[in-house]
Amino acid sequence: MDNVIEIKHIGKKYKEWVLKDISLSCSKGEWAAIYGSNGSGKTTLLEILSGSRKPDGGELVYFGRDPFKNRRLFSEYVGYVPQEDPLIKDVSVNDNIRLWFSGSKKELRELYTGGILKLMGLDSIKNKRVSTLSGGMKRRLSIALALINNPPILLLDEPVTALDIKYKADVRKILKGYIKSGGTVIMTTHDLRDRELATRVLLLKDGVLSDLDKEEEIYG
Amino acid sequence: MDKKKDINTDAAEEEISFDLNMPKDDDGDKIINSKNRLHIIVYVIAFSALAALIAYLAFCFALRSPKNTVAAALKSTLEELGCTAKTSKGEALRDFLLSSPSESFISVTYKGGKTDDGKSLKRLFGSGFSANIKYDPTEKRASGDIAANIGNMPVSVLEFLADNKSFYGRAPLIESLWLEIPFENMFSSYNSSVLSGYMGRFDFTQDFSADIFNTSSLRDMKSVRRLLADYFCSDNTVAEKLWENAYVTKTDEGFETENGRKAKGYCITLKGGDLSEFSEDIKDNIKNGQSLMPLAHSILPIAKVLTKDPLMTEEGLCSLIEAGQPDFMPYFDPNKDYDVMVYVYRKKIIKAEGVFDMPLPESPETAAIRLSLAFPSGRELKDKAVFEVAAVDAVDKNKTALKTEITNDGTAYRLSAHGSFRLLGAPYNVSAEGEYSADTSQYSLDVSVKNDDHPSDRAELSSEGIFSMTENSLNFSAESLDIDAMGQKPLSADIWLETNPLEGSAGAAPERSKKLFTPNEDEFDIILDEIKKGCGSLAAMMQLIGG
Repeated sequence: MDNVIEIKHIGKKYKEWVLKDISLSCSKGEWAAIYGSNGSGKTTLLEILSGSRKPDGGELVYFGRDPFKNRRLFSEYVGYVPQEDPLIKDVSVNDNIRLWFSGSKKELRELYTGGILKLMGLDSIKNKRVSTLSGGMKRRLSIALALINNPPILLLDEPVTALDIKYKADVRKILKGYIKSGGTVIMTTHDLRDRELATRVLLLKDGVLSDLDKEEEIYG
Repeated sequence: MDKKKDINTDAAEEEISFDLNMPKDDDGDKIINSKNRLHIIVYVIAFSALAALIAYLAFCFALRSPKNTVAAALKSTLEELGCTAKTSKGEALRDFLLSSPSESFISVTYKGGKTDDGKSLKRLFGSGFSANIKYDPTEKRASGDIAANIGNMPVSVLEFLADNKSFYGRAPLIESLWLEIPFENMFSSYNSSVLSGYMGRFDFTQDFSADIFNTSSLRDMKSVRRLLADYFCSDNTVAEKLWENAYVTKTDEGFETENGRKAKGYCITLKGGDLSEFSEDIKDNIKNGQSLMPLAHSILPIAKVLTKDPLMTEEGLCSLIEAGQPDFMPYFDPNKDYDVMVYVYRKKIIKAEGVFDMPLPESPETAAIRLSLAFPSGRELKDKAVFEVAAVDAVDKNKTALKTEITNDGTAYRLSAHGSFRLLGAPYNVSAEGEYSADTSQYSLDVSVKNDDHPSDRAELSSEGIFSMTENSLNFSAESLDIDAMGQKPLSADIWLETNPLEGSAGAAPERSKKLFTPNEDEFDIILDEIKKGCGSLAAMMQLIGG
């Protein structure tokens, strides 16, 4: 099983075709950064890849299996950080984590003391209600939730927006570790710094995804 | 699959590594051993309750979804336009929208009033509305919108498109997404759109929070979900599988509430195939071990006494249960659909009920079990709830053979069981009444079994005492236990049992402070074990009800 992700001619139509013919293959340890102007369909593409939206054509394959035929694969394989934080505002940080986390209480405690929850600074705010958190804190929580069950594929929709410099650096460090561990990342971004870190740079324009040279001008 | 959820940081090199859950092809060997009766009892009760609760949750989510409201309004509108009455496949709507051979434009404006046609539409659109439909023969597409008149301003409440395959609708005020409904098999698609489409997004989007938690029922939902997560499956995907494939239809069947009002009835159909997969998910989850620990923690005191092994640990119990876990598969026929009736009053679920055929372990026979959860309207779940388990006639599902009801009114649990059954061809009536106060730990129980044809063929049991169970102790003191079996010599005894296995010295037998009983030691142990088995089941139910 060489390719972790295979996107084959995926299209999506609302009033017009937003995505016309998207094809992409990603293997283990690949980090694809997708650029594109506002409204170019980046979010739609990630929503399709995360299973939250169905394509109007084409095929999606994760580890050789079609997740739209077995939707459980989406949850099993994919961690997704949407643009809007997928948090439950009226309950605490810890309660949000408990709802997503599939391990035991003991393992959760370990994550707080030495794992990703500690790293993201969530241990000190675990009892705070999400509605009282700042935008950056919510973002950190969302990213932690996507990673907490160790999925082999990570989809990030502009993940570092609203984060301060320290946590931007932390997130990038975490992503580097994730890639090194064999994970596959697809992220949309406007931040040109992500181009340096990504192993692959793509541009989504006019409903078509194309590879860019790392040095090539993105918004030319 | 190694389910270790960990992230390792190497302080020296600042390097982070993940132990990712990479897929693997084999599912591993399934250990099936249904001989351990304790485990079967625990799992049958637990899993059945879980199935009912999951269905209940699924329906709550669907019902409280704002998008479902939009979809329901859409459906209602279509019905009121007469489309559904003509065909269940949506062809009438397609024909209606795409019938014109040339470019055309239809505009309807309604200014309120009380015409027959207007009444229902007025309910939806307030003081008036306007509808525009345009047909483009080049694109072979119809489009339009419906706007409500708010003041003198038309505000678009519904936009739609239709081509020769699908109908697309959206309510721009509420949701910018388009809801697609293929004309082919339109209404099953409608259902799957509501449940499959949106439920599929629960994992990832903000809708997850909006749908579940920004409602007045949050507290109930949260407690139920937490209960599930703690005891059975902390993996959201398990529940998601059910939500994806549940179909909801409204029924004419109602339910009378406490104040005599009629609750609306809905039927959630769960696909047997998915339930089988669901049970496999639970098994996998249990096999991974983590989810089993809280359950083991709860039943450990009982298990220690039952096995007479004070050294038993949670890990040991987990291993034991894993080794003896029953196969859930026989409990659901993958080729059959299961219906769960849900009754809703003032947007609150007040009762959920399902009937399941449950094959008996190691027996060719099946038992039909009705599981029911009732929540009187306007109260918190824990204040008053009724959990009902009833064996029902396997042929006529509406006929109840034995009905058990446990009520928690906030001060005491009350058990009530009544019914009849046949044993070796003879008809028996059974009735049981009991009460238990969690505050004082006092219980009382009266059970009577009578042969209708031969009144002397009877057994009665009456007992009062104290029962309490904490995380690490079991205290049972039967101050009186009177058994009158078949009119024979009455058997009376006092049993005091105070057991605190965890605090005992290693290797020491559980302490029994006092025992006064006429049967011999073996008989005493058998009876005691049966009582404790019952206590274990009762405790599980009490936790389920009490949250």
